[in-house]
Amino acid sequence: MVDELDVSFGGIHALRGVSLSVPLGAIYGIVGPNGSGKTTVLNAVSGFVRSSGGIHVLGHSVSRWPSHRRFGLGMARTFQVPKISHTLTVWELMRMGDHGRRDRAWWKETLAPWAAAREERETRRRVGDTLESLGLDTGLLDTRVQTLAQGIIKMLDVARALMAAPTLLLLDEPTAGMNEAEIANLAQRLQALNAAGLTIAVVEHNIRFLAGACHIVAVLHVGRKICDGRPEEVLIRPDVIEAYLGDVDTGFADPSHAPENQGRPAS
Amino acid sequence: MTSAVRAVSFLVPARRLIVFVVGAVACAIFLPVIFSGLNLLIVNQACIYGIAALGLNVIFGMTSLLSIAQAALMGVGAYTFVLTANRGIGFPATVVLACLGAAIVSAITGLISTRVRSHYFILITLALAETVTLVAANDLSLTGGDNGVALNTIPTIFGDSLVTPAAFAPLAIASLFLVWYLAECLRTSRFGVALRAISTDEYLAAVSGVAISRYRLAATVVGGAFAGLAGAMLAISDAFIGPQNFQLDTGILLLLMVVLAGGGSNTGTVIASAILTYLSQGLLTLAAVGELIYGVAIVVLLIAVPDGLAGVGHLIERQVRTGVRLLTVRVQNH
Ligand SMILES: Nc1ncnc2c1ncn2[C@@H]1O[C@H](COP(=O)(O)OP(=O)(O)OP(=O)(O)O)[C@@H](O)[C@H]1O
Ligand SMILES: [Mg+2]
Repeated sequence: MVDELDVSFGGIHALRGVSLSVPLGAIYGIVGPNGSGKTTVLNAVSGFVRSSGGIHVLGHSVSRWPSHRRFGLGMARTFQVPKISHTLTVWELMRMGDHGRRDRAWWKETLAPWAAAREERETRRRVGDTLESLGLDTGLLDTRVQTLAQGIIKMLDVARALMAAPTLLLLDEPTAGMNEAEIANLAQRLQALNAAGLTIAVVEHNIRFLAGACHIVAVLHVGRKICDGRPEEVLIRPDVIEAYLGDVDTGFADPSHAPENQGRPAS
Repeated sequence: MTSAVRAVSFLVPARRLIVFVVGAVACAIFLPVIFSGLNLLIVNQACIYGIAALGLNVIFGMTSLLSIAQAALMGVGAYTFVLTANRGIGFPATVVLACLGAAIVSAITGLISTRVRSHYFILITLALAETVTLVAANDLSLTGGDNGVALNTIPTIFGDSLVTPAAFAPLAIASLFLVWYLAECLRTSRFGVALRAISTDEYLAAVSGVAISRYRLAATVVGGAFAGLAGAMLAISDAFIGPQNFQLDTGILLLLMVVLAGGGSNTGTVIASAILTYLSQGLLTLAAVGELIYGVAIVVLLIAVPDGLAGVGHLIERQVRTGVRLLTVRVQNH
């Protein structure tokens, strides 16, 4: 997906020569301590930050493409902290997700009441299905997004991304702000989508989530990749544990007993 | 019974269209009967400003491009209309040309908007507004300078000249409802939602595949076309235009309407246009005081109701909801 990627912000090197390759059909975890550059990888792939190095998305070399073109390829992403505007309702947010999926002329939808009604009916059905599949309340549609709880907003952000019917989904700490049940539900749902062919790259701190859901995990540390591989091998490596926690050794080495959100302040 | 339901069910998608047509016909018939003299003039003026303000609502209310050039764009439309009409081009075609002219000039600001940070946009529109009034006031051969230009032949509809306010009112009202309807379709469409997403979260827009600069451009084109229509209407109603019609104070008045409406609401914009046109006409004799009141009003508005009329609407809705909930709780407890 990315090749020898370098990103710097005014002299601070956020990423140095990071290469990550997400195999089609995989669930790919990206882990690392705070500030290690995980979000920056997603931002570089999205075209939000200037980067040098190669970026390949679904068979296209996109490093010079504007963001909206990259997301037209069948890629979708969520945000670590969704900055969802106060004026959008859940329904409108879901339609934003659906935005790029249609190639019908916008003026037709805008000006022809019957075409608009047909499209709206179809979109409403898809929105209902998507929300339901994530265990979200379909009665929320006319609620303003900002009035909802953080866990629900994060889930809605995932739903919004899924509305684009992507083939590659990038998730930035989807479980942050979610409770146990929501996390378990999300993992289950992502695995089902993956089984149906969706490739997922997920930035995550939650070790249990990673160990349970990911096929491959890559570890970033101060802008470099220190290793990658199968989660049960990578997450017990001493250099990974040290990068993550300094020299503390806890139940971390055993993923099944790891406490949630280890080593990470609320953000 | 069910077949009757099925027979009319195809009308359901068109319910907005039906509401607007019924509203337009009712207003076009009754407003000229209810109002007369100066008040009817104010109704006509409010329709014209309402059309321009709806255009600005697309540019600023929905897309957050802060423009004070909307009156200047009206001017572009008005001059295009009068100059082409005086050269013998027929009536509906001149209106189309007016919309096109204003849309093109507006598109220039839209193109620049993709190159500059958002808060510089207002400076570009200020430059545009000044340029338009300067050209209008100084290009004597074309625009007649400060003296303005008269419209040589007043257009007619069904053989009726539009020169009297009573004859012009139905046209003004119908145009307002048409633009209002179009703006409402736009606001609730995928396109309109994308505009609002751009204005509050460009990242959300980008990950949804929205080409932000193209959408900004489209918003300025649509808003400009509405301004051009308003300018043409003004030229018809006054049969005369001059630079004084399109100066910065009018641009600020239009902006104030959209701010008062709040949240990109079209209905709010129309109501605000009616209120502020009435106030501004009433204050006309006290020009200086009027400006002072504008200034104070803007500040008060921004502090008191940051979300405008739409915000007030939501506030009332919330109060009512809370009231209802309290009532039902009390009823249940008894
Ligand atoms: N837009 C920016 N401008 C300047 N510095 C930035 C910017 N974005 C990220 N950085 C810096 O780049 C480094 C990597 O940040 P990044 O957000 O990618 O970390 P992260 O791994 O996602 O951390 P977290 O777990 O806290 O989300 C940090 O030092 C951060 O301060
Ligand atoms: Mg991050």
